[in-house]
Amino acid sequence: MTDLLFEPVSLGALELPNRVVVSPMAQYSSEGDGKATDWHLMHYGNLSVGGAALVILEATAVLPEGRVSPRCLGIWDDAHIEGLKRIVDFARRPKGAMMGIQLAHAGRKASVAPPWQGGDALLPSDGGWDIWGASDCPFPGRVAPIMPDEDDLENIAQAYLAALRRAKLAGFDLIELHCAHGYFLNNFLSPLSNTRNDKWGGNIEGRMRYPLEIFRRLRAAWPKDRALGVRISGTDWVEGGWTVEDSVIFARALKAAGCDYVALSSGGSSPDQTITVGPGYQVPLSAKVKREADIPTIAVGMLSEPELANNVLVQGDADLIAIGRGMLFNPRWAWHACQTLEGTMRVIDQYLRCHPSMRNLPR
Amino acid sequence: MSTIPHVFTPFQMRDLELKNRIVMSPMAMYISDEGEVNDFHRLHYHKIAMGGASLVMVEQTAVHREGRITNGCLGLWHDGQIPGMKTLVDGVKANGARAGIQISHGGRKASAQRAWQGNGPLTEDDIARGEESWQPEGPSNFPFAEGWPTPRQMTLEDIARLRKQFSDTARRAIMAGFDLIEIHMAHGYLLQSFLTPLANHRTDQYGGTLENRMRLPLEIAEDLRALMPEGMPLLARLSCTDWIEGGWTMEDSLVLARKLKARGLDLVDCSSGGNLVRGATNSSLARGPGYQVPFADQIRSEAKIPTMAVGMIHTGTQAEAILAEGKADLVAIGRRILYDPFWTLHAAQELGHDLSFENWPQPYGWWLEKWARSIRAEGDSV
Repeated sequence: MTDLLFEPVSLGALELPNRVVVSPMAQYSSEGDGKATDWHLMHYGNLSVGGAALVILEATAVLPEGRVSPRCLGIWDDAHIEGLKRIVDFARRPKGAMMGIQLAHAGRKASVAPPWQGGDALLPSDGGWDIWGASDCPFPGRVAPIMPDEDDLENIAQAYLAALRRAKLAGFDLIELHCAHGYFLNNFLSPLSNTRNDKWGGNIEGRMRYPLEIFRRLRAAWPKDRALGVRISGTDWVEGGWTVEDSVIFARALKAAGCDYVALSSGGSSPDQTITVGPGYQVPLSAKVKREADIPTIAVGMLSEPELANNVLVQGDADLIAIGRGMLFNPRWAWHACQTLEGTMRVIDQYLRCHPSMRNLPR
Repeated sequence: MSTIPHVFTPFQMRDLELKNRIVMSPMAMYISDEGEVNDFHRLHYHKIAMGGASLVMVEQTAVHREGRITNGCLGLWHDGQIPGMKTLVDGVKANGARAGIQISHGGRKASAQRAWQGNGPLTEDDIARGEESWQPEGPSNFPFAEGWPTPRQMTLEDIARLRKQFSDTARRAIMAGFDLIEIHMAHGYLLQSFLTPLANHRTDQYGGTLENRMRLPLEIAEDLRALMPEGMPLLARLSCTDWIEGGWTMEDSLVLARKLKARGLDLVDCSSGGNLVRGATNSSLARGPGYQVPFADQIRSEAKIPTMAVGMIHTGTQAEAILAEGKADLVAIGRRILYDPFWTLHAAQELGHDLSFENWPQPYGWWLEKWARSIRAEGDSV
């Protein structure tokens, strides 16, 4: 059995030296204007020199009302480009990571306080804003979202395209379209949040239509030599909700539209979700989508044991492994995993001699 | 564990209180241009401050352009370098640590290759690639090793100028906001090459006897102590032994430590070596975990001055034992903190301290506390 975690892999047009991805994780560290701060430069800059082949920036809002919290990162204005470009430029060094960004709209779960301030819903009078959904069906306990009409949907699509243009100017190698965790595009997919009776709702074809429309427009506008993928919730974990079988259907449609990968997370559409959490608990979603839709997948979720992460790849259940909290706990996770697996990897010159296992490695 | 591990107890030096006993050891990054701080330095040092060390020591910083060891070394040889250094200091403090700086002159080991280019003297190839070479200076015109440039023997005027450069650099470090200053008296660089009989063959008041060889380092310590604010600590890093027959010895270090203490020095940072040909420090020696700890222990107990232990200290448990056994007051982590910038936060987990991630940066601690909870609830429904 050959170890795979530190073997090269192609992701769309990108050639990656290993299969470790830093998963997008909200930092809630913007100052309220959506701009990247020194925090983001330090956080992502450090991760970019830690050995992971790809770092994907957190959910970045294509519209101000698409932020989860007032402190989320944004890309709805040209003024956001500079701060994002600074991060990408820092990562552009020999043996630095490739950089991706997750384009997001929080939909009916937008307008909450940062988690460490309680995470409660914010009304417009508390510094929050009116929220949007696929339909006016609320997330239980939250106010009803605004249901977008045709003009609204076109405006939102234009916002995604404008965000893509800014991501291109900032120099990102990859865009991940956020269709998971109960946010806007996931609101369309899940029958728990989409009660529309027009062409954007109803059966799975109707519910997939708007996310696919956005994806196709992004694909047409995104350079062929950069990668474009999608993060989905592989299941709602709720009876009557979105299922892994639905995910296979969606992934096939994405593949036909030119999608380079699907990242398989789960949940977020309903407080009634029942999840049995454990190491690799979302891997079966990745395995099924990869096999049945024949599309590259990124597995994510409690995979910070290097042997486990490697086994997921060896068993053919995913093509890459995204590490989230494991990277926050240990920003040099990739180095340490490489040591555990006795692999080799590229290390930036400044850090080349910091551990016996990293001497005499290829530069 | 109900008692706080020694590692996580505070330590006072003059007016400076450190929140714990872990220090990031000064380590050259060789990535500066003209001695200036850049984004790499900021990210590097700020991340380590975030990782929980109480004191972040900025790498050896040249008191003069020609005192740089390599073309990539940091400097504070002119006022224009203060603002960049201040951004470094501000970020270290914003991330919860105190900032120290090691000020240095490379002496006869200056004008060398960056570590990953070989750590040797600059070659024709290096110069063709754009590296600049210059004439190094030293106590005597004895080269470091075969193939290395012969240093120009410093005159008394040169020595007076050097003292002024150390003082001016210390003033700039104070203006940049550093909490303490460490004088680099180790590793074969200029001040250590005055100390060791292997490099110092002078016959004037700066060479010959131990007292004469110690004169310049002691003068610089006096100069700095006189200009620094009363509440600001002054440290020195020593090579406690040359590891070479006929070289500087541990007995010499005890004499020097006592004299430094008498001049108001607050702590001795106990390293070793630097006059062996291979490696910036002692990589050619057979080294084991904590191999330099006995030096910190002996200087602390016999010279009665606080010490910092450094060198191959790998785990939180190891650091805890050094402190619990009274072998040092502070523990410096070098390469291991490059390998793991969150070494201190991880040591806390290892020692059963801060299990709820309260000392972590908020954007991380929040995710991790949930993570720890879900791991504890493994298999349960959430």
